[in-house]
Amino acid sequence: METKRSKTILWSLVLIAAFSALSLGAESIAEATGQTLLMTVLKKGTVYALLAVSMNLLNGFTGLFSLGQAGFMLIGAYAYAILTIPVAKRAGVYQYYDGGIVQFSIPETFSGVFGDLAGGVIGMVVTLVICGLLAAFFGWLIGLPVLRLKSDYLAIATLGFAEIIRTFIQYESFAPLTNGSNTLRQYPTFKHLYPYVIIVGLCILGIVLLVNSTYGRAFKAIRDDEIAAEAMGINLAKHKMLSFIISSFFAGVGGGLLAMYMSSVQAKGFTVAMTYEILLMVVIGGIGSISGSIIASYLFIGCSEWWLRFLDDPSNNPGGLKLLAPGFRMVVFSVFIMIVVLFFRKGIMGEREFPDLLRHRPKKTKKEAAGK
Amino acid sequence: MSENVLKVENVTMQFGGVVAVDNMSLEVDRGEIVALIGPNGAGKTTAFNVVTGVYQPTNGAVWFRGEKIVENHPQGKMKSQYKGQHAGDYSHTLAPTPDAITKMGMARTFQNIRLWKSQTVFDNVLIAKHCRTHTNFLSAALRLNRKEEQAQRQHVEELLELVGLSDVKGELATSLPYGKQRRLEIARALATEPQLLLLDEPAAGMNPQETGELTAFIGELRSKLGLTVFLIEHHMDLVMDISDRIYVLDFGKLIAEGTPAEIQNNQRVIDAYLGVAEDA
Repeated sequence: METKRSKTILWSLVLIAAFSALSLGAESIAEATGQTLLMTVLKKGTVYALLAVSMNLLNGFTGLFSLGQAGFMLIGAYAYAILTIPVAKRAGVYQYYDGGIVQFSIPETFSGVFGDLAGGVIGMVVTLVICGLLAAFFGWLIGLPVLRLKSDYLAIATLGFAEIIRTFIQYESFAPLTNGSNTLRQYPTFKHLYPYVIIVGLCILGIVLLVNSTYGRAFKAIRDDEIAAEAMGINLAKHKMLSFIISSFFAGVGGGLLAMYMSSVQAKGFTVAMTYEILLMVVIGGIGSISGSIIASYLFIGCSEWWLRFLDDPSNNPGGLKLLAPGFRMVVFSVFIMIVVLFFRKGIMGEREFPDLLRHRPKKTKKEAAGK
Repeated sequence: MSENVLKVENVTMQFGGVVAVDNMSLEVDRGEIVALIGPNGAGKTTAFNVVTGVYQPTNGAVWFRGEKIVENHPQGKMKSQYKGQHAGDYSHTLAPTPDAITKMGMARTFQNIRLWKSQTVFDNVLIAKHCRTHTNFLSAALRLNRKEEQAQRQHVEELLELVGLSDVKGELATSLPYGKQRRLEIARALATEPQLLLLDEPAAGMNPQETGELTAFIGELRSKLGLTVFLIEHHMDLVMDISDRIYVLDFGKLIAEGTPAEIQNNQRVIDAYLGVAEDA
């Protein structure tokens, strides 16, 4: 058993390395052929994979129906932008607020110690961790009152808190820190795809390890039957809080990565709709399946950003039909989602993980399946 | 009399105007098997819920292994509504959550089976071991707790062997037949390493043969593991067979206490619950 486990970790690391090598390859091909959309999909999909998995940890594994994801992402995104904008560029970004009150940049500080390139990267990674910690702190703060609620009530409360966070960040008095409702930009980002893959891969590996540990099992017990879990000595308050904090930590890191991907952030964009997008990925992938969330986020981003683009182009209109127009792809996309939800009731993966599919399982006869 | 493991002292549980458990006092001694019987709606499960911390009693106290673990007195609106006795005897409020009580060494099963449905038989028992882990979530995620995990898995194997479910350990808990699910619930409760085991109708829905096996099994638990057992049951064969002492509850009140022989001949119990055989 022991050797098997360390092998799992080793294999996952190899897998992450392979994927980042693959992403390097994909990038050079995309550049050579001018497929910019492929890179968009891969980058955005990678970031959303982390966001979906972190939401799945809470909604799918602990059974806490929370809709606060966008709020924690917003904290992560803003923390990343505020802490990394180069000092020289702050006057331009915070043009209405005399360059803002934060007059340092973490990557620049590290660059002074480790040299430009290494220091910059270390600084960015450190900032991402800080993003996560900040989001986790707010998760704890919000969790204190909110986690006493259950199901829909919890969803509404967390939704409200996400909106509160968004409003607060745009609040005029905090503007020297957050730049009010203006955009934050000109912070350093990763140009290539592979750093995203590595960071997201490591984060998801961490979540997978947690889910399969004794704490992950306790989370699942809470999801399956709270009363039984409590009677078997699992402290509900403590474990729900733990799950909430860990989920918000990774949402914060994901928010930081999203800020990098978007290269400018504005609180206005982090609406409830963003949470719903991620929730859709979780549901389509399968509530309680990490590999499902990952697959679904690439499919979702692929569909919404790339494969259906042609539907938006009026010049593709056949004959005199005025069907294809900007925005039509979203109509088709919605139909796709409905079809998936109708025919894969439990999502693409259900509660299975990718390795489960490779394992041989005796097929159920139709009779048995019908009896269930 | 040897030391008592569980002592329920003047416990009254009142929901609004309904007194579900009325001034109940009982004791369970170390190594005993004690049964709580009574007609439907007498308040047996409510009594269990008070002992395990699911409900906070309206008045009274519960002692476990010589320590007071639960205490309460009528408060707020209940002050004027309280219909029970011993109203002024208790002045503190002590209300640990069920998980804290389980950690003290008291485990229970449920009347309506409450297994974790999406988990395998093995994982159901393994999860119950979680309350005895000492690692934090970081070292658990980084797999620094291998030794502990190994020991836990070993113990789970032993428990499954004990209850005779080793051959189905990989199956989903809900796919088991009813009797085996009951056994799994007991195995799960045992995984929390209890001193006192509370069984809420362990033989409900079992046929006579299964009931017989269960009776022998509960006896084994005491002899092999040195457990104290406190159980609620409607199968009188089982109760009369293994109980050292029996408490009878009717409309929330204890109406009798004694050995099986005494209870069987107690006129009040016969009137309220046992009834008379038709050919007698």
